[in-house]
Amino acid sequence: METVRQSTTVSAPADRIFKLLAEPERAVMFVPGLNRIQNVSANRALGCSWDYEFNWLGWIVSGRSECTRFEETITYQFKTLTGNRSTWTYSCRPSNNATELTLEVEYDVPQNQLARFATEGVLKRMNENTAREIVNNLKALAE
Amino acid sequence: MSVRFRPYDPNRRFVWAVPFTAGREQTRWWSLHAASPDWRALFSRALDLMMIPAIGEGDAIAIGSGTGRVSWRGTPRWTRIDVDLQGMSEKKQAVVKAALLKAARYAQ
Repeated sequence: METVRQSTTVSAPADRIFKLLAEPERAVMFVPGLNRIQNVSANRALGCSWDYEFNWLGWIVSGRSECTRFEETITYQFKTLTGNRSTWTYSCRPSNNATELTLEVEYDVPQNQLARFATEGVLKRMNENTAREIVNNLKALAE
Repeated sequence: MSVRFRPYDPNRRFVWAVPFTAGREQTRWWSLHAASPDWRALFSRALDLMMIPAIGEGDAIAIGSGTGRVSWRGTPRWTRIDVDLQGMSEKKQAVVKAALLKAARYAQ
C-alpha cells in the first residue's frame, strides 16, 4: 500500500469542518475530478455507502465506497469497496482557536492500469496534489 | 471500481465558461440544453452542500451577506449564467466557482 498525507490549519471549529466532509454528497463540491455521488444509503454514519464517479480527461473511474469509521467531529474514514482498494481518513484536531485538518489516503498501486496512465512515482505525485487540493478546498469553504 | 474511457458523457449538460474581461470575480457561462433545468434548485442545492447561505430572488440567488450572486436568463434551449463572487477570498471564489460549474454540468 502507498500512503499520501496532507494537513492544513483551518480557522474554523472542528464540527463545521466535520459536517462538510462527513456527508458523502458534499464531496463533489471540494474533491477535484469527482463529478457524481449517487445511491447514498439511508444510514448517514458508520456503514453508509455510496456510488462515486471520477472523470479525468474522459477516463471514468467509478465504484462504491463505505464509511468505516465515524467519530463525530474527530475522524471520518471511508474505503472503496470494489477494484483497487483505498482508505481515506480525515482527522480534525483542535489547535488553539483553529483545527488541524489531515487527510491520509492509503491505496493499492493499480499495477494493471498503471502502464496506461503513468509511472508509480507520477501517480503518487498526482495523489499528493489531489490530497493537498482537497484540504485546501475544505479550508476555503470552512473559513 | 471500473476504469473506462468515455470522451462523451450523455448525461453531462453542455456548459461553456467564458472568463469576463472586466474582472476575475465575475464569470459568465453559456449552457445549451434540450430543456431548461431548474437552475434555482440546482444552484441552491450546490450552495447548501458547501454550507453557504443563499436566498433565491427570481432568476437569481443572493449568496451570503452580500458576498455574491448567481443569476441566469435564457430560453428552453440556452441559458446565460452570471456568477459574481466579489465578496469572497480569491481561493474561496475559485472553489465555489468550480463547484457551481460542476453542478451546472452534472447535477440532475
